[in-house]
Amino acid sequence: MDKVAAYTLINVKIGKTKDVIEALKNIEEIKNIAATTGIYDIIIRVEAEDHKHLFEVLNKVHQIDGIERTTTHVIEVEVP
Amino acid sequence: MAVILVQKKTIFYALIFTASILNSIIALLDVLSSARILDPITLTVYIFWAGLIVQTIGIIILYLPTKRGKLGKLIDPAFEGLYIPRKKGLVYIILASLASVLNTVFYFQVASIGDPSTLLPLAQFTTVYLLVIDAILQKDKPTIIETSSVIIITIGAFLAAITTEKMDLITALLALGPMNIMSTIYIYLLKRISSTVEDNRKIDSISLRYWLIFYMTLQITPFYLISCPYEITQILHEFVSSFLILSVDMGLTFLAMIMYIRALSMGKMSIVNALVSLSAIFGIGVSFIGSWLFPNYVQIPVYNFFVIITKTFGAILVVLGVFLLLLSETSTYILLKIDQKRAKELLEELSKVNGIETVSAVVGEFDIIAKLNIRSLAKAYDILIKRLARLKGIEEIFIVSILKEWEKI
Repeated sequence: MDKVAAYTLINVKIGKTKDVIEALKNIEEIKNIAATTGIYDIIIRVEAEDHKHLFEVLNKVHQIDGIERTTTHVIEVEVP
Repeated sequence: MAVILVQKKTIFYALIFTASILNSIIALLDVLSSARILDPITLTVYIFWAGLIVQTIGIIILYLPTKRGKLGKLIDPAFEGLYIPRKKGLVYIILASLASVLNTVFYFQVASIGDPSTLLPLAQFTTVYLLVIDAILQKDKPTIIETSSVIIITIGAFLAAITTEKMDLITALLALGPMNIMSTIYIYLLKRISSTVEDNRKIDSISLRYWLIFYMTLQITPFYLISCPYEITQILHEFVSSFLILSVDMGLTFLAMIMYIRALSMGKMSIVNALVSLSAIFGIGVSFIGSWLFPNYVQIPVYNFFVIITKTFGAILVVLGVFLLLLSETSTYILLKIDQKRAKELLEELSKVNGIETVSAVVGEFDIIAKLNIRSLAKAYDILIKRLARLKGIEEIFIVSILKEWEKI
């Protein structure tokens, strides 16, 4: 079990939130999508097999039209 | 392959909704069984035996491989095969099964009143006790919305339980006292177990249910065999002849319990239980169907106009209370920058704050990402201002409220 999980914080162009969420829903490794208010517009949780796989998934995310900026935080430890 | 994404709330409520429908069917089967086997202790023993057999078969089926791993994984993603609990988990399971044995005996005593639509609402008083426990033991003050919806649901369930037949004071007291107190203890322990982490994994709901039945059977069987006035052959004969109904009953209970335990690990226990009280409404329908199918066992009282009106009002109140709860829930991400020297302690301290679902230590712009489940903004104030701000080592806090959430099942 060497799976890698990460939170990716996303900022989107105004008016594009819905399209971006629809596109994110099509990526299988994204286990949770939250539309948010505050300094970020969308927060997703990605679960990948390893770091290489995570890179590929994030690459897919970056291709989505309407995403302005992403910041990924790989999870080191999680409780509970 | 198509990806199914469902809103997280939807999973939670779908689990509970299905469990409630199953519960009302189970209540009908319980009434039928208690009409067949009159002694509540005998019935409890038989039903546990049947349960152990059915669940052993069930577990074997859940081991079957599918494309995405074991079949059981579809029901509970945490299922990795039958987990054998040790230490703390084991102690909780043994205590929980003891509470459940006692609850079951009282339950069958009450079930002999012969009307599922009365039996189910009576079982819902557990919700009130749970709210009190939530408040006292977890030091988690229920919000006004929680309190008022639980009261609405309880009054509703009480009205829906009104019947004209065979209901006496002793049965009612038995239901409100020992039966509900035992199930409160049982559910409280279940909640503790479902959040216990052993060997770096949570005990999955399937294994948990299996061991519960296992220990319940282990506890009551010797006691029964010693005190029982019948011959062994007589017991076996009676058990075999009623095996079919008991095994269907326990098979459905197994499914309902797994869903219920999963829901418990996702939400607060008084809320989960309040929602399960929906079964009180389904129970009215099941009562009618039951009395039509098995007129000798299920009493369908000739309800007069006022009883029907009262029952309907009760049912409406239950639904209303449930919706009140549904509409008042929000989650928030808390992004923290911290003093790295305190990272380990902070992780620990944060995970103990009420309402915090997960705490993750991350690498990046922030150091910790925590997810908080709350029922009102006033609650967020309590948690953020009173609890988080007091923790040493937090340098910056960013709050990101979740407007809508989707989660994969």
